[in-house]
Amino acid sequence: MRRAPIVLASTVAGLAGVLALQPHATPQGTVAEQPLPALTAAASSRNAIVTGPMVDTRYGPVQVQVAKANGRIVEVRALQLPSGDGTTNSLSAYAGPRLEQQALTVQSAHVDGVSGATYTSDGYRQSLQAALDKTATATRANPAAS
Amino acid sequence: MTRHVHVEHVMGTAVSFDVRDLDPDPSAVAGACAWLHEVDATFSTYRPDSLICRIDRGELLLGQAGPDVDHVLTTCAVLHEQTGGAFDVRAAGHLDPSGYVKGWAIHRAAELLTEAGIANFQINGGGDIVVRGDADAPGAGWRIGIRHPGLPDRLAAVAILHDQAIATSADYERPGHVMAAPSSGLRSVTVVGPDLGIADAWATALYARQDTAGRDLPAGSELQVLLVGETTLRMTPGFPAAGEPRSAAVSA
Repeated sequence: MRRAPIVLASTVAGLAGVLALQPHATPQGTVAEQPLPALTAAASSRNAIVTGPMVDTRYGPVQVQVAKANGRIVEVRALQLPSGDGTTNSLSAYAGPRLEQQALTVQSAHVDGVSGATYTSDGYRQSLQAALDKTATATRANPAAS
Repeated sequence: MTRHVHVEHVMGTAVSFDVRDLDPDPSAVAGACAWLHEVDATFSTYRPDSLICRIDRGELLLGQAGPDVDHVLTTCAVLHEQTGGAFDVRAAGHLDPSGYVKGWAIHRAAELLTEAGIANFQINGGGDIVVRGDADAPGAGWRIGIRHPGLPDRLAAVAILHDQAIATSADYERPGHVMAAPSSGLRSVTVVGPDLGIADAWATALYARQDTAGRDLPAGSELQVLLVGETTLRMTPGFPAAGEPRSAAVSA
């Protein structure tokens, strides 16, 4: 076995795609699709904010909202986070402050998919996928869409 | 680019097909899904009558189980050897090759779509992904976020993939260990390579071994590795990370 050289990198803006966590950024509820205000000049339904369904995980219900611009995800927000038991509280307490610095580095990450299957993020991921499915359906249903 | 999305619940996870071709043959994804269900029936450790369970109980000999089972168990044996035992189909105390099977099955599903003439698509099986062609602009490939190990809705990095596979292994799926960072500080291992089954198996093995230096990769390996630690990302020089890492190269 040969040693593979490794590049050590701090988590930096161009590399990291950390999305801000804003649990109370938007009212929770059913699927809401609306123009993304900053980008209304671009092609219509490729810009949208789509809210995924509430998904039950072992840690409790989770729900995400996806903002799309020009057909790409530009932001993912958690609308609903698990809370109420020790595990998830410790998760929030652990992750919040520690990741704050990284959250500042990500303003425009857009992705076509996410790698990293996790138990707790299964809910997030499936919810994200469901939201993506809805944007695809909306695109197809709208003849004006590119 | 037009998106045709289908989500199939199979192999204990949600497998998402995201096809970006203009007018794809609709029967292609259905055929790929049928294949995944066939794999599920053959390799499921939850179905007592599956071939893999019958082999485990000694009711069936290897040579009697067909070429797919032969291929899977042979490849798993090679991976066990290459990883110094870190990839182990008997780690759970019984025969369970699912650490390779899922990626292999999705890789084969991608081949089925390609054979059906579909050029641009992503198949995402529970976070393990195969991409072909482009998501949007020709030549741009696919932007795949790598989940942050601390928070499910955040990304640690973004990889740009062209006709490749990507798999991530971490401890965050085990509730009792969600916040217990390993002593090495290694939180997740992502592997990019040409074959999803192999990439997935190596991600599992490197993570299980807590190999913070990536030194267990086979010589001449095509695999590229990204390690997410408590505060740092580390990657092999060929890892297709988006953007330029502002970093200094150091010896592992």
